[in-house]
Amino acid sequence: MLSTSAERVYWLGRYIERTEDTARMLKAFSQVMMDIPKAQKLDWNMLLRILSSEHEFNKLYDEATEKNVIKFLLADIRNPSSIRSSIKAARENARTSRDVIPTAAWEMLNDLNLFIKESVDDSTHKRVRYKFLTEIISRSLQFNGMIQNSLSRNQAYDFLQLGIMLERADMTSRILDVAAGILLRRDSIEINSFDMLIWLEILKAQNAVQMYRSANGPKIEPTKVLHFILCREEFPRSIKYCLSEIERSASKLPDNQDVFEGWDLLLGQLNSFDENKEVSPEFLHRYFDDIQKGIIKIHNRISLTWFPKSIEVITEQTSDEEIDESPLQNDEDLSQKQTQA
Amino acid sequence: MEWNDYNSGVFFDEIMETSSQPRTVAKELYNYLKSLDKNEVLARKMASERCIEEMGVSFTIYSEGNNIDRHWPFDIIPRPIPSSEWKIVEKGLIQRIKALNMFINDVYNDQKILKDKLVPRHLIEGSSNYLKACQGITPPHGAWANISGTDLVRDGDGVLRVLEDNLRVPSGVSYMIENREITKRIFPEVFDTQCISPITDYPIRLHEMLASLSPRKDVAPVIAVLTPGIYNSAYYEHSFLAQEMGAELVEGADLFVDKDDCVYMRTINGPQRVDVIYRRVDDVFIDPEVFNKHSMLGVPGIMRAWKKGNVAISNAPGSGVADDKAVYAYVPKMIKYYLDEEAILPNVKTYLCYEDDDFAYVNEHLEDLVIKPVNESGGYGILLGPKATKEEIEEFRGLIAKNPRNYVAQPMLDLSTAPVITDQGIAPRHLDLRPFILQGENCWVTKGGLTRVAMVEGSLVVNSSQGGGSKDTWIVEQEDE
Repeated sequence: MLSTSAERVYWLGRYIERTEDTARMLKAFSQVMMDIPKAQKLDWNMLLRILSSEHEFNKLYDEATEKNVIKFLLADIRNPSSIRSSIKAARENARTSRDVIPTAAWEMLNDLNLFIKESVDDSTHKRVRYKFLTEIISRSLQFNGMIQNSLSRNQAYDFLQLGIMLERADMTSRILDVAAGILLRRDSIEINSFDMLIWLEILKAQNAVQMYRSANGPKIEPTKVLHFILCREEFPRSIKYCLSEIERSASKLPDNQDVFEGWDLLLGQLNSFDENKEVSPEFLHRYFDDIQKGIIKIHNRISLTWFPKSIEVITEQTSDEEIDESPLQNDEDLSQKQTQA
Repeated sequence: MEWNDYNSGVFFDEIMETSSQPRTVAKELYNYLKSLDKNEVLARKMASERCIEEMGVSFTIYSEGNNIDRHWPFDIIPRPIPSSEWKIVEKGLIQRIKALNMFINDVYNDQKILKDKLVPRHLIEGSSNYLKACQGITPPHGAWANISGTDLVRDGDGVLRVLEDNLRVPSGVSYMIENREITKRIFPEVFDTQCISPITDYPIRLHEMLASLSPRKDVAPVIAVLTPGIYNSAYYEHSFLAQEMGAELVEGADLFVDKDDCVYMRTINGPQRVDVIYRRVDDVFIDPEVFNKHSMLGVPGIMRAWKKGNVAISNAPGSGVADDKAVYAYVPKMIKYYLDEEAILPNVKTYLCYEDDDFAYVNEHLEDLVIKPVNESGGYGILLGPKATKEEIEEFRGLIAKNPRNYVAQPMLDLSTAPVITDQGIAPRHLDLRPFILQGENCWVTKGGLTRVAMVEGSLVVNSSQGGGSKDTWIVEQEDE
């Protein structure tokens, strides 16, 4: 497989997953805000922190109101990780990889892109938001199902899987990091019954409520929720599961030693959750920092091992206006960290 | 949406204080609804119907031997209750369930209340719900009725009264939860400005309560929901609760009692011991060895296991003895007797047909009264005097004379109303409220409950099996409180 094709398919995987995960997160957040009384509502800013886009946001908007944040994350084409931009980037990467992905999957992606383009402006309206986000999630799942059932287990599949799984691990760890940071850091006086609803919604965002409950019973306990989403091997949205999928795909690809080195490191970091007796905010802060660094490391190793060497140059040239023309829209946040690494 | 011609007449309305003035608790809701035009309201009504179909919320009704799976009937206008009022109701419900559980434990053990002649002995020992098999037993925490769904009604003066204590297998709690889910989807805006108590924690509370009954304290309890099966009218709810609690949903045939008198489920890994059974099967079907020999729904030997304390059954068999419309009349006395407190929530005036004075009164006033058989539920076998034909009244006169123990009479209630969206616009309809109370180690009440509403003009029958609908119920925290 061509290095350039491999890279495109990898980013296709990442963007389609980002679309789905962002939609899940917005949906969960919007839902839980309805259950929390006015005085205790969370800050919409929290979503920006999860996606590390506070800086970007502040350049474009004055205030982190619900309306602005939703617009920025859903519809704003100026935000490179908005749902609108993600799906557009996914489509661009698919457009330039049509030789390797099933035609029907390409059409689905086109359809999804069109759907978002056409209805995104109404969707910031509260009442249609739920339906809109649900539709995006289900169409992303449909795309995934099409890939799972019709793409040969070839190298294109492996790179797509690498992208999907790494993005999923990344998004999940970001959500847990910020949520746990806010929820566990509060004084016990502040802790109230609404925290439980927030943890519940975190599980919902991962479609994990039912599976969590059949494993742990109905009670929502922060440590158990964290353990489930981080380390529960059987659960297909846990970070542990993502890692095992990454291993499966990477093991089929050539010259994978470097990637596995990063992989081993991340697995060790992930497992340290269980070795730690007390889950304190300080521990979690370090922990998620390590996980994030580990994910970036794997990404860098993947890209250094298999992708065209000029990647950083392409990244830096990519600007918002050029998205349509460029076959690759690279992840800004990651690439920034990449140059630091 | 126009409210101009809304008029609830002499009845207490839950939302409107006068035909143009909303109650304080409903002010924001009223203004919000008013801001929507007619098409918008109809669009949301349609969205709610769509949502119910998508979520697959259904219930089954029996009709001429057929089972019909129907979509859950739902009215989109919520029913708000001030949290200040609810705090009192909560206290009243806890007081009541405590007294009722002490009563059940008493009649199966020392029978003090019968010896003191506060409750007539024939009322208990003559009751088909009094199970001799339960004598001498005290379940964990002395709690027999662990889950109850008390029916409350508001009379013409705005006073909430207890209409029935449902202590056997009350249903409806899943609909309470789903109703909120629907409201969140169709009216997301209203949650921004108001403080509405969330209700999603019921399954967690239920699980905690059930776990507190487990005979094995050293292991995580295995909890099973025992359903009569997919043809039961509340099957949707059984599966909902099992899923929400992460419990096993089982039918009688999935369980067996082994030589050690413990209950096991048949799993692919072999038998697994069950600690707590939340049974949604009626008493008499629960164990063919003890009760109905032909029952296919129960588990042979389960009573043996229960008596030995090897399994908890919730609600405990025999709890129904206190869920009898004649025993109901004695609850205020029980509260005084066991707790030495005055009842916080009043009863509805009830005439006991086996008492001579009451019998005479009922016989003279059949046309003004509601006649209820003591052991039926679901609104079956009731006579609404003012709406009945001459023949029906005479039929009941005969029935009561033949078996006075079997009937009670109550005055026609001025049930409160709330606005409902009908094909002709917004109109008042009668409603009741069923909160759910859990009693294990601790006692806990839902925030609100299931509001059931009669969809037919003037009708007082709210049972979903008889064409009733439902509303989302809000406990609203008001800022100036």
